[in-house]
This record gives sequence, structure tokens and C-alpha cells, in this order.
Amino acid sequence: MKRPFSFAVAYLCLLSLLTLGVYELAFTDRGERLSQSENRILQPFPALSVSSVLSGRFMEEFDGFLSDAFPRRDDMVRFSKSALALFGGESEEDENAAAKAALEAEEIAVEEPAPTAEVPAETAAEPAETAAPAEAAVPAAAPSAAPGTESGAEPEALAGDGEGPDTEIITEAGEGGASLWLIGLDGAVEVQEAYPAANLRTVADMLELYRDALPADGEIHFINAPVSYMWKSLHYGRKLGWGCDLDEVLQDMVGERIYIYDVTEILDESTYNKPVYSMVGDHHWFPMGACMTVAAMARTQGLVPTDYYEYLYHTHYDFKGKPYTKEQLEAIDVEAAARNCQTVIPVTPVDSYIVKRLTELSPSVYMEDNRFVQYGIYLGGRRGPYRLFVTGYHTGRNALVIGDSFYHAFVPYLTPFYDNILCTDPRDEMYNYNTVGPNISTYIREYGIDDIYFVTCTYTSVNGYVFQDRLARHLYEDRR
Amino acid sequence: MVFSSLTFLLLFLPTLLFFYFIVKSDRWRNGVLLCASLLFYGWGEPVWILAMIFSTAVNYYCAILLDRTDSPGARKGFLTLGAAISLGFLFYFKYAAFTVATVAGLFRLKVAVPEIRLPIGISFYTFQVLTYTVDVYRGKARVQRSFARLLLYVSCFPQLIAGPIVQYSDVMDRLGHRRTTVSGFIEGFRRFVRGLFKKVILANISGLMLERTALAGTGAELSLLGAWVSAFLYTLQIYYDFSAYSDMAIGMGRILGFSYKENFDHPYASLSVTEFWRRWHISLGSFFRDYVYFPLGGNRRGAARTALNLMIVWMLTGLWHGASWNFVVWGLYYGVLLLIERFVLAGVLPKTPKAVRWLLTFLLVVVGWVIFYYTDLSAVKQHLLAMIGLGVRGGALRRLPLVDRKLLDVLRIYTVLPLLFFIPTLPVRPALEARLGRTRLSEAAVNTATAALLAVSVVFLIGQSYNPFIYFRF
Repeated sequence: MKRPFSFAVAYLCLLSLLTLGVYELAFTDRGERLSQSENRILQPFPALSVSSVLSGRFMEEFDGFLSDAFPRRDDMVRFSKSALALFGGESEEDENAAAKAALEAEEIAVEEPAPTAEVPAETAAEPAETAAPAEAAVPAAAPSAAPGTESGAEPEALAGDGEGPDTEIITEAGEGGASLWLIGLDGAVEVQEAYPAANLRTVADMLELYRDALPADGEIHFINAPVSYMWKSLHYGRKLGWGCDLDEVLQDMVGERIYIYDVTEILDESTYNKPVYSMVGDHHWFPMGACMTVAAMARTQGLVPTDYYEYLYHTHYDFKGKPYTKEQLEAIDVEAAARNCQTVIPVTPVDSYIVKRLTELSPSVYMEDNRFVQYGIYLGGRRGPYRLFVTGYHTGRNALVIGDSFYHAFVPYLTPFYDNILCTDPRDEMYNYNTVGPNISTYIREYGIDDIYFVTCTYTSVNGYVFQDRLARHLYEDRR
Repeated sequence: MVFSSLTFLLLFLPTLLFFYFIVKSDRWRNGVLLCASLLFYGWGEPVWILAMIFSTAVNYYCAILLDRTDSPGARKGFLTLGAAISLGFLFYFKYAAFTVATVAGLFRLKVAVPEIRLPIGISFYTFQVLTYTVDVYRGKARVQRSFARLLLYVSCFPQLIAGPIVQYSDVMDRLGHRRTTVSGFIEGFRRFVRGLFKKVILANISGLMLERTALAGTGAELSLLGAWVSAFLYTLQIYYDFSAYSDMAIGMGRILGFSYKENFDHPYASLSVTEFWRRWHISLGSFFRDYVYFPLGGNRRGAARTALNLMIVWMLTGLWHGASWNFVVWGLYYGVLLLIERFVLAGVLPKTPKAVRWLLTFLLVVVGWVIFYYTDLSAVKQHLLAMIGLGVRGGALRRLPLVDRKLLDVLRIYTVLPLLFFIPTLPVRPALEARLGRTRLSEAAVNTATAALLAVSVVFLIGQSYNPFIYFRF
């Protein structure tokens, strides 16, 4: 044989690879494990089925398993990071610093008004004053343009994305009702959502019902987050301001230990001449918006929130979002900006489970999932009917989050305040009686829930069937 | 399946080689290779195996039918049928949505643009299967009676997904009988490891650096130098990414007894754009030359017709890369450059100093990659303007700063790494190898380096998430 030594080297290399592969399949733990260095649940060995093979899911998960089950994986990851740092790559501190610098750079880059804005810079820079008189002048049944009139049919554009409005958009609240509005460039109030008094009464009753299911010191927190087209219309200078009086009206209807927050007020500062803190490609919010909201809620409760920059973030490049129509993209030039999306990694390792039946926890799932190119990257996508996050903190309190997809970016920031956070999405397509197990009050008891957070966007909120009908029933009805 | 995945490295490749070399007859080896290739292709998207088999079957029968008849009309008919079905497939999956969107945009129609998923590698295998039918039609190749062998040619996993595009006439003999040698095994393995290292380290780190720079359309602040640096980094990334795949494909082909032609030959060392395209994605250039440019008449019908033919070929080359206008513009950009070189600068270029020619060529290539990178033409415009220090704000041109914060950040973190990464794009290694010759010492050094590169690549792969090759989307 020619070149026997070279052949032996090639042969041994291949043999070593095969040995590693066989070792992984035969001897490594196939279950769920936590990677301390990456703060995520490692991929367990995937379940084999015809459907998982045909869909390609088995293969994807198998690839993930081989990577995650590699012997001394954490050491390998640390080695590669250190090696990168040697060659000029970045350490973890660099990553944090760079993320912060990038955010600051973006803030600087948008200091000047966007080109589409026809508003003088001075006007746009002082929205609060402009908005204040209009806010005061908002009538319960304000004459309004149809939502999205100015910026094209934005709400309609979402209809095909599978998570469009779950409620008919009402633009006249009537007496005793509440509204969420934008203020046009001419100062006119344009009601985007109106909440009639009767609907608010139903929600108030429902919130009290939930409060009564909690321990004596349990609290209810309720937010109604504006969908992203509203943020963007402010960010790009197509509107002067926004506001909402839902918190005031609903707060008056409910008793103690129920807190209603006005997200437009919390986020007001962020919407002018700052980076877009909501999705630009679809209707969701970015972590920064969620973080600001959680921080404001925490301060109200006398808690000290963790700074946004204390968390780690992963940037997902080429993030697709869910695009608007071509005309809208041309008008607001958001497609390119939608490519990058950050997901938050909690400060301490968080273990995550799907709760299939009351006590059946399986399997652990990613906190984030790189395979998704849409909002599903948050918390590893939609997982139902319940998700449990074991946070690693020891606060002695547990929370239940009831919400739509907006809770995905929200929950990571809630982790410092609770030992366990149980989450559920009560919409019909997510809340299947065949899999959900017992009613919500049972979960509240079994998991020792202290506080409940209602986290929805305006598309799912007050007027929708979830708040008007399902939630009250889900609390005590048991259809197992 | 991806070459740069642990599933491939730890299980697929060693297992395949074990079974491939344990059986001795070509028939059994073909069987092993075909099964492995179908598994490789179906690993990600099993359903698309059917599309590939269908496309192959159509051309298989068309070739048999055209071989059976002497009537020129019928022969042409069968050729057209095979080509139409294969290209129709390609058109449906790759260009239907683009066409609908373009037509709807032109006529302001409200039409729902279909969302069609692109089967991976369809551009490559469609062209491969077409070369078969055309070669049989031209009498350049014998008709293949064994469907399994034809399917093996089309689906052979090393080059299936991202090339090189292997012409049937180049491998038809090896489909029946292949000779594997120890030297081929060693050299193939080394080539494969080199490709793996290029992908996992050089291409992926170039990509990481690129992601840190300010890019057009993201709202980030652009600057003159920042725009050039990001374009330069993409120039590195796409070269390493694509040539890495070709290295791995050629290396594996060599192990298995195939001899694929080179697909890259240090393109960034070119002294003209014409030379660049003789060194970059050689198999695609050869395909368009043999199957489009020559049939159109090549350069034998006068200057005007030559120019037209070139523009057609380059527009198609651009479109082949993707259903997006930026690729068309990119193709036409090269068409125009080649025409200028051919008809305007033909007498000037040879007299120009080599360093100037190299620099000009390289800058033109870098500009080309900017057009290639952005699928949004407004972002292309924004980036190109930034490369001359201009930006648009409020409809008016304004001067951009020389540097931006993201660029400073990249330079702080990576310092001279981008420049270091540029060195291997030049023909340094072949020169070094030629100088050292083959001695025991050099063999030992190469063996050690191969083992080390493999180990480092595997370690880096563990911490990386899914990292497909850029050319997968074509």
C-alpha cells in the first residue's frame, strides 16, 4: 500500500467520528438536560413517528440531539468561544457590550425624524404636549377615521397571518366605555379600538372572579398591549400621539387587588424618535417593549425590576416576521428592518416544561428556538395548553400568565419575581379541552399561584370572545 | 442533510464509507450510494425526493424515446418535452411567485402571490438532468438504460444540493465502473476536511463579522468605510461558503471514485472580470456556455449578436441564482462588464499594470456582491451610494461619515482578522505545496494539520446552530 501512514490517519479520523456518533446514540442521556453555559434545555432524543419523519421534524431534532448530547459539550462550547476570543472574537462581556452599543447606535441613528415624517422635528419631539389636549378631548364616542386609514389597511393585512384580530374592531365605545386612539397629524383623534361599557363590565366581573380564586394576598394584573402598526405610525411620524383610557375606566369597575395598566402610557416615550420596539414585520412587540411594561408593573408593586441590559440577548438574523402588503412595505420601509430580531435569555437558567395534564410535565422545551423565523422563536414557539417555567429564583411566589402570543416576549422579564410561572393561552385554537386537563382554578390551587397576569394585545383583548366568554368558563368548568 | 452537521460527520459519512468499501462490485456500490444519496436528500425534506425522481424519470424516458427514433423532428420533440417538464418544474417552484408578483405589480392587479417552498437543490439537479438529455440528443453521450444509474447521477449526494454542476458526459463512464485508490481516498479526505474547515471557521466567522456591520435597510447608520468593509466581508463569506461546499463535494467524490471538475480556482486573484468568471463557479459558467451561449450562436454571428447572446446568458445566470430582481441586475452587471472588457478595453487591459488590474477587478467584484446580497433593490442602492460616501435622507442626498460605530466595534473586536482571512483566497497554498514538495516531513505535517482541522471544525460545530450553505437557497 502506498502512503500507509497517511491512509491510517484518514482512516483513524473517520473511525473516531463513527465512534463518537455510536457513543452518542448508545450511551448518552436521551432525556432533557439543562445547559448551564447556554441557559437552555438541551434537545432530547426525538420521538420517531411517520408524521415527524415526513415533516422533517424528527431529522431536525435528531441533528439538535447529536449536537446537544456531544460528550463534554459545555467544555467544547467554552473552548470554541475562548478560541474565537483568541482570534479576535468576542467574549461574553464583549457580546453584552456590543449588544448595548448596537442599541445605542440605533438610537443615535434615528434621532433625526424618519424621511416619511412630514411633521417638523420640534413637533415630533414633543408629543406629550401635543397629545395632552387631544387626550382630554377624547369623547367616549369620538368621531374617527377607520383604523389604519392613514397608513393603508394594516389590520386587514394581518388577517392572513393566523393571528389577526380575534375580535371585531369597534370604533365607538358609547357612554361609560373606553377607547384606544391615535392622534393624526392634523390633531384629530382616530379611535383604533373602543370598548363599550357592557364589555368592560363583563371583563371586570371576570377579573374579580379570578381574584377570588387566588389566595388572600393574590393580585390580578391586566394589560392591553397595542399592536405594532400603532407603534410604527408614531415611530415613523405618521401620527402625533396615542392614548388609552381603558385603565381608568376599568380600574373604577373593579375592586381591590386588581391593577389595570395603560401600556400606551408606559411605552409612550419609546415610540418617538427611538428604535422600533415592536415587530416591524408583524403585529407583535419586541422584548424591549415587553421589558419596559414589566418594569413599570413591577415598580407599581414596589419591586425593583432588572435592567434591560442585564439580560442576554440572541439576535436572529434574517428574521422574516410576517410581511405586510408590498405597498405598505414601500411606504414604511420596514422589510429590511424586520430581518433582525432579538430574543431574551433570562438572567438565571430557567427550566421549561409543557404541562399536558395537571401534573404531567414533558418534555422540556427551548426557551428560544432558532428554527423559527417568526414570532415562534420566543419561548420555543406555541406550546400548549400550559407551559411551566421554573425560574431558579426563590421568591416564595408563583404566577399564572393568561394571554395571547404577546406573553412570549413578556414572561422572561417576569422570572425574577416568581419561583414558578405557569402560562396558558385561552384562545380556542390553543386551549383544547381534550388536552388541557382540569379547569384553571385547579391549576391555581395545584401550582400555588399567587398572582395572575392577563397579557394580551388589542386584537384579543376586551371585546373578544376570550374575555367576553371563555375565561369565566375556563376558571371553573371542567370538561375532562 | 448538511455536510457541516454532526449527523453527517459522525454517522452518515463513516457509515456510508464502511458499507461502500465493504462491498466490492460496482453494482452493489451503486446501490449503497443511491440509497445513501436518497437518504441524504430526504433527510430534511423527504417529500421532495419524489419531485427529483419524477424529473429524472421524465428525462430518462425522453432520452430513450429520442434515441429510438431517427426522425429529427421527433428527436427534437422528445428533447423539448423533457426540457420543458424539468424547466417547468423549476419555474413553478422557483419563479412562479416572482412572476405573479411582477405581473401583478406591473398591471396593479390584486392577486394573491402563491407561497411555494423551494425544493432544496432543484436548480442544480434540474440542470444536471438536462445535460443528460441534451448530451444524448447531441450524440455526445450514450443513452442510459438503467434508471437507477441515471438517478444515481442526478442524486449523487456530494454534488446534489449545491454543485458543482456535473455534466453527464463527464461522469457517464464512472457510473458503470469506478476505481477507488488509496491515494484518492487520502487526497479526497484531506480536501473534504479543508472544505469543512473553510465552512465552519472561515465562512461562518466571516458571516459573524458581517452581521456586526451596518447594513442597508436595517435602520443602522451607514458610513463610507463601513459600507466597503461589510461588502468585503460578504465577499469573503460567500467565497469561503461556496468554495467550501465544492471542496467537500470534490473530496467526497474522490473518495468514492468520481472525478469532479474544479469549481473554483482562486477567483479573487483574477486580473479581469472575464478571468474572474473563468475561476468562479466554473461548472455553472461551463453549463451556460455549452447549453445556452453556444446554441445561441456564441460569438460567431458578429459583434452585435455576440453582445446580445452574452446579455441573455448573464441575465439567465442572474435569474438562476434566485427569483428576485437584484439577481437579474447582478447578472446584467456582469454582462455589461464583460462586454466592456471584450469590446472597449481589449487593447488597454494587457498594457495596464497587473496590480491596477487586480485591484479594479476585485473592487468590481465586491460591488457585484453588494447587488447580490440584498434582495431589496432600494437597499442595494442605499449600500452602493454609501460606498461613495452618500446617503439619502428626506429625498435629498447627503454626505455620510467616514466611519460608523458598528464598524469601529467590528474593528475593535476582530482587529485584523478580516485581512488575515483574505490571504487564503489567494493561491498561497498551492505555491507552498509546490515549494515544499512531497517529503515525509511534509506528509506528516499535512496529516497532522488535517486531523487538527477536523477536530477544531467538529468542536466549533457543537456550539453552532443550524448553518446551511448560502448556495442552498439557489
